[in-house]
Amino acid sequence: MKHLFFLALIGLIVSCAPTRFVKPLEHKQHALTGSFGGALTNVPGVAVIPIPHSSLGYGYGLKKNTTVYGSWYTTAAVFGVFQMDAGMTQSIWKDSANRMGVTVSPGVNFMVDVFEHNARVWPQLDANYYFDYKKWTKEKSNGLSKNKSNSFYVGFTNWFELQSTRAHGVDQKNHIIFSPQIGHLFERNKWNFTLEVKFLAPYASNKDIVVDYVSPFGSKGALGTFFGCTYKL
Amino acid sequence: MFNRDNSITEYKLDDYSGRKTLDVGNDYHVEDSMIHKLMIPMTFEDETIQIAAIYVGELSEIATDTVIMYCHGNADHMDFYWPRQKLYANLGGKYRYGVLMIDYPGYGLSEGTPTEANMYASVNAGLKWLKTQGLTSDRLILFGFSLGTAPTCEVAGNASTYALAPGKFILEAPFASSDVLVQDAALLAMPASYFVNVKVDNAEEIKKATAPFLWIHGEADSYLSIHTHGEVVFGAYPLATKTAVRVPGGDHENTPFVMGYANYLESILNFITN
Repeated sequence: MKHLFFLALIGLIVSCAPTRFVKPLEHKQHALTGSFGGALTNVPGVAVIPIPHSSLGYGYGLKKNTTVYGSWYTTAAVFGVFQMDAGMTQSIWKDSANRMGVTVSPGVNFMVDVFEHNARVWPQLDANYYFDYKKWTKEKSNGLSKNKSNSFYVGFTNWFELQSTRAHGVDQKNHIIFSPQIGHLFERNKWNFTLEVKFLAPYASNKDIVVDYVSPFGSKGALGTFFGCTYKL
Repeated sequence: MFNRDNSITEYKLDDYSGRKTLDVGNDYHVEDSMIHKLMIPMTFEDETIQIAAIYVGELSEIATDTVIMYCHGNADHMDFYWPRQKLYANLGGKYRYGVLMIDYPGYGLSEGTPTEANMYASVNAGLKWLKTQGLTSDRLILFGFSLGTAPTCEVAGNASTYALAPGKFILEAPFASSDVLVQDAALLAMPASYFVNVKVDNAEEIKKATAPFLWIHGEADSYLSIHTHGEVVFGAYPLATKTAVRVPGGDHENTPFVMGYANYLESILNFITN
C-alpha cells in the first residue's frame, strides 16, 4: 500500500512557502517574488527531498511600514489546484538605529481544485524578529550608491483550521498549526534572497501516515527548507 | 500512483529472491501440484486484457467448498504476497480452503494500467472465474489487505453489481478513505481532491455491506493508523456481525508474524467457521 496515493504535493500544506516579507518594502515600491521548497520527506528509492512547492507573487509598499502581497502557487496549479495567498506585512517595532525590528504578517490562504471544486480558506499569521548583522553602502562610479544588508530572522507561522470536523465526521483536533522558523535575508539593491528553515508543527506526531517526513524531533513534526527571492521594481 | 512492479517475466513464488511481505518458513509449504497459475480475461471499457492469478487448491473442489479470494496490497505483485497465500492455504489444515489471488492491472504479469475502476474490475474478473468453476456467493470469503481493502469494501458494499457477493469478508489494515490519508499527512481538514485522483471511501462503502465482517489491525501500524483508519472503518459497519482483532505491537505488514502465525490463522478460522 505504501505510496499508493503519494503525489509530490501531499504533505504539510503549511510548509508551502517561506515568509513573504520579513521587512516591509519601501513606500510605493513594487516587487515580484518567487519561492521554492517545502517539508523534507524521505521518498523511498529516491532521496530525502523537500516537497517541491513553488509560487510566484507580487508585493507593494502601501505605506512606509506596510506591505501588501499576494502569491500564486505554481506547483499546485500543475496538479489542478488553484492556490493563492494574500496578506500584509506590518512593521510593529524598530530600534532607533534601524538595525532590528519586529514584523507581523496576517494573511489568508485559499485553495480550490478543478476536479471537484472543493474550496477551503485558512487564515495565517506570521511574526518575525530580524537583526541586520551587516549593513553597508556601496558607492558606484556614477555617483549612485547601493544599500545592502545581511540579516538573521526568527519567528513563527500559524495556520488556522476553521473546519470543526474532518473526514467521516471525526473531530478536527488541530485548529492552530504552529511552526517556528529561522532564516537569513540577503538584501541587495534590486534583489532580496531568503533562506528559511521551518520546524513544522513540532508538537504533532508524524507517525502512522503515508508521508515519511524528516524531522529533527524524530516522531514529531517535519523540517521544511525554503528559498525565496524578491525583485524590486 | 500505484506502487506496482511489472518488471518480472514469471512468478517464481518460493524461488522469488525479491522482498516479500512475510517469511513464513517451511511450515506452510504448498505442493507444486496445488498451485495453478492462471491468466483470466477481464473486459473493461470495451477492452479485454489478461489478469494474472494464482489459485491454490483442488480446482475440482471449488464447486463444493469454501474459497478465499485474497485482494493483496499495493506492493509489487503476487510474488511479494505469496507467503500470505500459503498461510491461507493452510488455514484449518492444508488446502482446507482454496485461495485465489490476482494481480491488479499493471501489477506483475497482469496487462493494463492500474486505475481504481479497473482494479475493481479485475477483482470481478476473479469472481467471475470462480463462479464459472462453480463457486456460489455463500461459499466466498473475500479478504482484503491494505490497498486490497478497497475492492473488498467495494464488492461487499455493492454486491449486486459483482459476479459474486461475499458470504463473509475480512479486512486487514484497512484504510478509511483517500480523505483520511491526506488529512493525516496534512494535519488540516483538506479534501483529498487536492492531492489524489482516486476516491476510495471504504468507510462509506462498508455501510452498505451485510455480510459478517472481521477486522484485523496492528495497533502499531506505522502507515495506516488503527485510530484514524481502522477504527473508522470498523465503526462504520452498521451491523452487529462484526469481529475485531487488534494486534498489540503489530505494524502494517507484520501482523501475522507478531500474533504468531498459528494464532493469526486461528482467528480467521474462528470467524469463517462460526
